[in-house]
Amino acid sequence: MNLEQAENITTWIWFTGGAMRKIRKPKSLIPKAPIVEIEHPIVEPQSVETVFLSTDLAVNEAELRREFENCSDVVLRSITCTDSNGRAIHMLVVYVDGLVDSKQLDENVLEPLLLRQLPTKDLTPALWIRDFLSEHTLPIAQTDVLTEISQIVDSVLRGAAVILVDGDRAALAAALPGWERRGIEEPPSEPVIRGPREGFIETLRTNTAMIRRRIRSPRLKMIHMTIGDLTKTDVCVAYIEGIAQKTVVEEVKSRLQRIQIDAVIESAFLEEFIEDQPRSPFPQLQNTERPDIVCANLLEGKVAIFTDGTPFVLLAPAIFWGALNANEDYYQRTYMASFLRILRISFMMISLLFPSLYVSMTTFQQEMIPTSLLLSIAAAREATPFPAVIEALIMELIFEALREAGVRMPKQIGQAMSIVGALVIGQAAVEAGIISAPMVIVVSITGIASFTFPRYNVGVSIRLLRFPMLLLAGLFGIYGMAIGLFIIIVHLVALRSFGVPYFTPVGPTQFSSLKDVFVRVPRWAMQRRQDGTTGENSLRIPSGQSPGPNRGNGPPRKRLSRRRQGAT
Amino acid sequence: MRRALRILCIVIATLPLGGCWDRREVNELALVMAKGVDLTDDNHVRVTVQVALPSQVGGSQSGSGKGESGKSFFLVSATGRTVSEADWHIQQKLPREMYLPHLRILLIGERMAENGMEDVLDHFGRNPPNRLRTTILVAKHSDAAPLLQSTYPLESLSGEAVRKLERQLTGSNKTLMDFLIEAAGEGIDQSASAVELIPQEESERTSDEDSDIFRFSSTGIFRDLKLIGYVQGPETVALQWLNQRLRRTTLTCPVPNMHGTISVELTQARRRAYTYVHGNDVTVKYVLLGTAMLTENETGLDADNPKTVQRFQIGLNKYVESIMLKCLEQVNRDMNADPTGIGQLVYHQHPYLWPKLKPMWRQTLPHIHYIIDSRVQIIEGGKSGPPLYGKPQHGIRSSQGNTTDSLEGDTDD
Repeated sequence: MNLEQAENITTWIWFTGGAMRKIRKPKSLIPKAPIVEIEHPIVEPQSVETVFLSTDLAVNEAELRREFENCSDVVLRSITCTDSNGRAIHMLVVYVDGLVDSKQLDENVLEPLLLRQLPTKDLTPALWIRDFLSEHTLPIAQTDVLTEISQIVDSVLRGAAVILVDGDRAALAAALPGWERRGIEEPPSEPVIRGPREGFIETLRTNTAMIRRRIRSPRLKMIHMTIGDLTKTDVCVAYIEGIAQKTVVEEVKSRLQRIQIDAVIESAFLEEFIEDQPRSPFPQLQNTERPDIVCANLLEGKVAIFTDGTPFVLLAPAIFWGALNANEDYYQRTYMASFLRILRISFMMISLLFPSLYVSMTTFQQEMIPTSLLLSIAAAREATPFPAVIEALIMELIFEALREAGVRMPKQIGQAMSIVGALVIGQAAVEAGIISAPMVIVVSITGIASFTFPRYNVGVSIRLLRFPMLLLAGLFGIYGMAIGLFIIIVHLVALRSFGVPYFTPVGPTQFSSLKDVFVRVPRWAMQRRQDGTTGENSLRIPSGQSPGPNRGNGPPRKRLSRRRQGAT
Repeated sequence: MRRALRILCIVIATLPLGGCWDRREVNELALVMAKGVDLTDDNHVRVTVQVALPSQVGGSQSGSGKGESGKSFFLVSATGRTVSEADWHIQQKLPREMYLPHLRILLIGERMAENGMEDVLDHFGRNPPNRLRTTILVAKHSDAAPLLQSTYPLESLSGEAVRKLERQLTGSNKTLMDFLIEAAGEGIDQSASAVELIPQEESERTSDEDSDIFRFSSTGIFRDLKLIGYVQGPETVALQWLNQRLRRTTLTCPVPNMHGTISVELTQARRRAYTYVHGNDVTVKYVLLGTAMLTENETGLDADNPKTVQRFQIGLNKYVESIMLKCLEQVNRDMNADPTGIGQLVYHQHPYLWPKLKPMWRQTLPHIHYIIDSRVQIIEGGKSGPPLYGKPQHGIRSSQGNTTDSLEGDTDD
C-alpha cells in the first residue's frame, strides 16, 4: 500500500467523522510524520532584549513613554517626596486609568508618599524599595518588586500601579485592580426555580472566589495560565486533588499549553482547540454560567477551565448523558427529577426523530399509521402541493429562522416577530392550503422538544442532526432513519472526551453509575462518584444514611413479637 | 479534503440516480376500507372495493370544504378470473394507487361462500398488502356489493360500522387469520359472522328516505370451506362461547318456578372442554365459566338475598346449558359440521386415537354425547335489591323473612 492509499484511508476517516477510526486505521501504514517541535513564536519583540531599569528615572520614563506611545489611557505621573533627611526623592507612578481603583491609589499610594515622611534612603535601592516602600509605607495587600521594563509594562496592563524611584534599579508594582465589573446576577441562560441564583461574571478572580467560597478545602487546586499573545488572557484550571483523575488534569493542562493564539475572547476559543474530535457534531466540553454546576462537577472529578473575560466556564470531560441532567434535578425531590429525566430523554428522541418519522410514515410506511389517523392525515394532505419531505424541510427551516431571528432581535421587536411568525406558520399557511395542519403540529412539537435540553449546546447538535435525518427519511423511509440513527449511535459510542467514553455509563455500561442517568436516586443512595471520571477516591456518602425511624441516637426499635404482645 | 468532497458528491448523486424511490404520498393513495368478493353468473370473481374519500371522512381541513356532504366513500367494482385480476381491473378505474393494508373488513357474498372459498383464500394469504387482521364476514342472503353500498349514520364508513357492530356484540372480531387457522386446523370447521341488510323499522326512520340497516344475528357455518347454513340468535352467542371468542354479552332467561325473567350481563366468559373416547363413542364435556351482573329482575324477588341470587343462578345456568345443547345439536347433527372444533379437542387430548376417528369423523359427529356443565356466577345484584317500586305480589315480604321455605311457599301461589 503506497502513500496515496494511506491518504485514501485518512479520507475515509474524515468522511466517517472518526467513527471508524479504530477499525480503519492500520497504524503501521500511516507514514509517521516527523515530530517537529514548534517553538513558541514571540510576538512582542520588545520582550526579547530584556531591558533592565536604569538608575536614571528620566531614562526609564523615556523608555516607558516610548512603550506606551499613543496610549492615552496610560498615566505617567511624576511626584516628588521627601525622606526623613529632607532630601527630595523623584518618583514616577504609572498606571492605566480605569483599570486601577483611583480611590485606593489616592489613599494608599499617593497619600503616604506625598504627605508622610519617608524613611532615609540610604540602603541599596532594591532593598529600600522592598523594605520600606512595600513593607512599611504602602498599605497595599499585593505588591511586587520589578526590575525589567517588560515586567512593568505587563503589570501596568494587568491593573497595577507601578512606582519607579529615581536612582533605583527596581520598581514597585502595587496591585490595585479596580475596573468596573458587572454585578452578580442570575444567569439568564440557565434559570432555576430552586437553587442558588448566583452566576459567573466576566472577571476571573470573582468567579474563582465563588468556587473557593463553596469548596473550602486546600485540595481545590487552581492552576494559572496565560493564553493569547495579545490578550494575555488569564486562564485558570481548577480541580480537586484526589477526586479528579490525574491523567485528565495533566491532559487538560498540556492541551491548554499547546494552544498558540493571538487572542482568547471567549472560552469557546479554547474549547475548539482542546476537544478530542473536532469534526463531531457533539460538543465534548460542557459550559456553564453557574457556580453550583461547576462545584458539583468538580466534586464528580471533573476539571473546570475558567477564562477571564467570559462568564462561561468549561468543564471537562463531558459525557452525553450529562446533557440531559439539569442542576435542578438535584434540588428537587427524586420522583420529580426522575420523571423529568425520562421526559427529557423521550423528548430528545422526539426532537431528533419526530419530523423524519412523520415523513417516512406518511410517504413510505402508511400501514403503520392507525386507520382513522391516516384518514385524518390524508384529509389534511389532500390539498397540499408539496411532498411531505419538502413540506417538513420548509417548515423546519422557517422555524429555525424564526428562532434565530427571535434570539438576535432586540426584545421588543423579537416579540412582534414571533407573533407574526406564528401567524404565518400556524394560520395562514394552513388556511391557504400550502402546508398541511399535521405538519404544523409536528414542527411545533419538535420545536418544543428541542427546548427541553438543559444544555443548549447539545440541543443545538441534535437540532442540526434533524436535517440529515429528515433527508434520509425522505429518501428511504424508516429504513433510512434506522441507517441515520445507527451512524449517530456508532459515532456517539466511539467518541471520547479527554479519554472518557462519551456515552458512559450507558455505552460502556457501568451499572453503579446508572443511578444518575435515567433516574436520579436520593442523595443518600448516591454513595459513589461516577466511575468514568473520578480518580482513586470515589466514595461520597457512607452507606446506611437513609432516613427512617431506626436512625438517631436512641436504641434501635425492637419489633415486638405477636406472642409477647398477647402475653402482656 | 477535496477527495472527500468528491466522494460525498458521488454518494449524494447516486441516491436519486439509482431510481430507488418508492415514495408515495398519502394523497396518491386510494385507501380501501372494505372489500366485497362475489361470484358472478359466469363463475368469475367480482370484487367491490369501498374507497374512502379522505376529505369527507377525516377532520375537515378548512381549505378543502367542497360542500358536497354526500357519501364519504365510493365503490369501484370489477370482475376477473381471480381476485388479483379483478383488483387489477379496479386499478384501471382508479387514478390513485389502490392501497390495501388498511382494509378493515372482507365481505364474502353468500353465493361465493356457498360455492367454496378455496379459490379466493389463497390470494388473501399470499399477497403481502393484505393484512391478516382484516375482519371476515359473510353477507347473509345477499351479495357483498349491496351491503357495501349502504351508508350507516353513525360511522362515516359503513365497513367500519359493520366491524364495530361485531365487536360490540361479542367483544371480538373474527379475522382472516382466525379463519385461516380454522381452515388449516385439524378437526375443525370454519365459521364467520354473518351480516344482513334489513329494512329500517318505522321508529328508526329520521327522514323519508328508505334506507336499510345492518344487523348481526347469525353466524355462517362452513364445512370444508363451503357455507352450509347459519345459526341464529342465542345459539350464535353459544357458538362464540364454545369457541372461546365471547368477551361479554347480555343473556335473558326465565327463572324456574317463577313468572318473569331476569337479564344478566355476562363478562369473563370462559370454557373448559374435555373429551372422552370409547371406541367410536365420543363424549364431550364443556364446563362454562363466567361472571354475571344482574341488569334486570322482573320476578320481584329481592336480589340482595343470597338465596334468591342462587335461584337466579340456577335458572341462568339451566338456560345456558339449554342454548349450548341446542347450538351443538344444530351444527353437529343438522349441519354435520364441527365449528366448535370437537375433533380438534379429540386430536389434542387423545392424539393416538384421532387417526382412527378422523376418516369417519363426519359420520361420528351426529352421535356425539354432550355433557354441559354451566357454572356461571352472578356476582352482583345491580343497584337495588328488591325492585324499587315494591312489587307486592312476589317475594318481597317473604324474602325479608330470610328463609328458603317461606320464599318457596310464597311463590307457589
